[in-house]
Amino acid sequence: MSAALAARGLGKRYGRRWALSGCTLEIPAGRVAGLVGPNGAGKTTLLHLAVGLLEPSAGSIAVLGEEVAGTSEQLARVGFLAQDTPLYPSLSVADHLRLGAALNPGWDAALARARIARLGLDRAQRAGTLSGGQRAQLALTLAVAKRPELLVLDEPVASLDPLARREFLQSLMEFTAEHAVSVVLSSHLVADLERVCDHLILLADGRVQLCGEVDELLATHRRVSGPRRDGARLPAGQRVIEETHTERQSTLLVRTEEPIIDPAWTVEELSLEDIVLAYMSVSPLVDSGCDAEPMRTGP
Amino acid sequence: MTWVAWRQFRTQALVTLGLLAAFAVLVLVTGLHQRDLYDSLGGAKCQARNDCPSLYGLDGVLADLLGPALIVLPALLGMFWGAPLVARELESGTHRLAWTQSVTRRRWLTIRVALVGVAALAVAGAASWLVSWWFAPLDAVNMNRFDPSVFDARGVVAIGYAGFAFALGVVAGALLRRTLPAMAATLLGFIAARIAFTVWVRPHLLASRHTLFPLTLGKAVGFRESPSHVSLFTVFPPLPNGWAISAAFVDRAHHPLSVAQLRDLLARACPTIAASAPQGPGAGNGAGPTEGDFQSCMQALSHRLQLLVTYQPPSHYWPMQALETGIFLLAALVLIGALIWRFGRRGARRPASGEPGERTAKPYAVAAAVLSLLAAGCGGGGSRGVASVASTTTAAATATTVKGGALAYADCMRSHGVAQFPDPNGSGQISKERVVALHPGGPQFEAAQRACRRLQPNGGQPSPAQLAQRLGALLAFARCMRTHGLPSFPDPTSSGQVTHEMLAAAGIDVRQPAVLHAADACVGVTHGLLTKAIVARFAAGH
Repeated sequence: MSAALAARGLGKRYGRRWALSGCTLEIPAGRVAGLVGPNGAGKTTLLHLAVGLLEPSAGSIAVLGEEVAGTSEQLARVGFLAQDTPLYPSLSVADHLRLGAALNPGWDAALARARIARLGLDRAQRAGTLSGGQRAQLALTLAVAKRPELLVLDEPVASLDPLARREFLQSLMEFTAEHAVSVVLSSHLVADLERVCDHLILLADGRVQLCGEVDELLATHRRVSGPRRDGARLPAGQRVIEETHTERQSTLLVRTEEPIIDPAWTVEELSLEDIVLAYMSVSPLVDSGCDAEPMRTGP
Repeated sequence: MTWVAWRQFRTQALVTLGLLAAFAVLVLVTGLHQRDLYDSLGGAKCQARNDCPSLYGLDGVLADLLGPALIVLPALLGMFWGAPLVARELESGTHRLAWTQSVTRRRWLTIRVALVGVAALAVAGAASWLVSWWFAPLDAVNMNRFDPSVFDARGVVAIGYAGFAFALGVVAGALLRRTLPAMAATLLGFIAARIAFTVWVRPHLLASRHTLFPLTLGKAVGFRESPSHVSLFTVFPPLPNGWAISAAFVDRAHHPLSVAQLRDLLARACPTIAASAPQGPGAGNGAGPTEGDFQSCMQALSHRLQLLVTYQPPSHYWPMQALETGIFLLAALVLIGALIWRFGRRGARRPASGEPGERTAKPYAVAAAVLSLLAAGCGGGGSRGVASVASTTTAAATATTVKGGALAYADCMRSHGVAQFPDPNGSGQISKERVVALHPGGPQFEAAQRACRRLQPNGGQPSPAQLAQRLGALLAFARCMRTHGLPSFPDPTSSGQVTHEMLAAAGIDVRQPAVLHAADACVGVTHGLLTKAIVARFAAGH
């Protein structure tokens, strides 16, 4: 199976400002991939490029093995749930389902009906009067009932309360478990992603800082601390991501494939959030393993 | 897509249909009444008899309002139907919903524009027919169908205007991406286009005709007296249902005369009149030219001068209506066509050429593509090969973690010996008060907390502010310990921890009374973070 999403030297410029530049990444298909990054990192731009709402200023982007071209066949293969879950406020729930049926040849009416019934939504209610959680669920219904091969979700839970957030992610996971579908999910809340994603991409300043399987990332990152050592020498294969020193003490966040055996170090496991925060705060890594080549980023 | 286009247009369409129906009733009722009035006076012949009824009351108001209403209507259609068509989607973000369904943007735009655009043409056509019908008796009397206020508000031109205003609105909305500015731009653009067309294009839509008028005083020609001199002037002669575009004095050979030539001619033909002028008003007592002088002067001039009038004949009325409508509709089609083309131009577009940055970026893009193939993309490493095989099971496994959440954390805490740990409430939150009531901080609680941290709803991390406070307190504590006879006492880790291993590595035995005394002396600097009890438990926990 080809990659769910593959970008090469991808860049998007608004006027003189590059919202995304030199982005080269590949998200494997069949995964629930989380895209994290601080606000303004270019997550939304990347996802909009992936679904064809924007066109690249540089480089190229392919989805499910095809260059994004905005054809109807391609649109049918990708379901998109935009940030803030846009819906037509004056249209009812039933109208939205009919809209989905009218605009998508592969519409799964039974799936949509079942989801709406399970959510207990009133079909006659206008979308403008739904709660945030209900809106998100209706928008998700539209996106999944189209039966896409790839589901792209842009900050789907950012504006939801914790309960609605849990219910939303739960119904998303139920869908992905039932149907073989790839998911790319962006969020600035790592805690949400940690629960649902098996692959993670960290985007900062329009560049990929970190990417990989969640389990692997957790297994290869450690925080070590011990008596202060300046310019600490580490064995080959270990790389310092972040270091802090106090008068007596050095604390390092290292990426390593092998266990740390130096008895002077105290070794701690890290949460995904620790790892993401560390990568967010360091300056752009040229060899993050995600960028195949540092791209010229324009003026 | 047709249903979607209709559903989005339905409310506007029904409201407009209602307004149009009310307008039709008003026009038909008052129009019939007006027709009765004119018929009772012998129709258009009243002009000859000079006893045409003047309109009063509602008829008078309508006669003043219906024409302007029809002129305003296309602008309203452009502003309220055209401008929001794309702009409102962009403004409310619903384009992200509409354009990511399985219908291309081009098709979405084409069908929506076709539906609303045809409706706009139909509304303008119906309104124009009603207004033309209402004015028919008056127009038959006034014979001024080329007058701009009449030409613009009768016949079929309103259809062309509506099409153009609508297209202008759609394009402005798509370019400006905001409804209100797009509405303003539509109005201004439409007014500018209409004025420019009326002034510069309409007179030349069809080849104009010329006709010569003899000079007759009081019929389109006259004398203008000023303090310095007397001059000839002309106004457009009356052409029933025709349109005089210009009028000029020409000689017998049909050559136009300049102002200076006219003055010379006047001085030679009518010396009395030409000479009278410089005397001024003060010397005018009976000495000025009489009405008879002017009459004989005009007669003398008429042998040498004629009036050449350029005009559009009445027979050009319908061809010009059709042409103007066609031109505006064509402009509308060009605007819409360009927008639809631009909408579907995905992928073909590259940033404007001539920007050096872009050109040099291309080789890099190729190199990056090759390298990324070689490097096989992201650093997933060896596990990528099994990715697709494992996908379904992974997704199922994650589903259970979601359901777990806070509940799983509570379970974990209990299984690690904190038997009283409360379950989360309905929204997945664990009551802080109930946890505090368990007296956390004991070794068992801490051990359980460490073991279950991965499951803790917010990842178990203190906020940055809490962490900074904790670090500050522990650093102060370490400094204090170093001054109390333990020079090797370590600083805490960046996550705010001091462990037995760290102390052992620094050669400090926490069970020694000297260490405990120093610690007791130093707990004060931590502002309550550490207490003697905590220190004692820490020492005992070794």
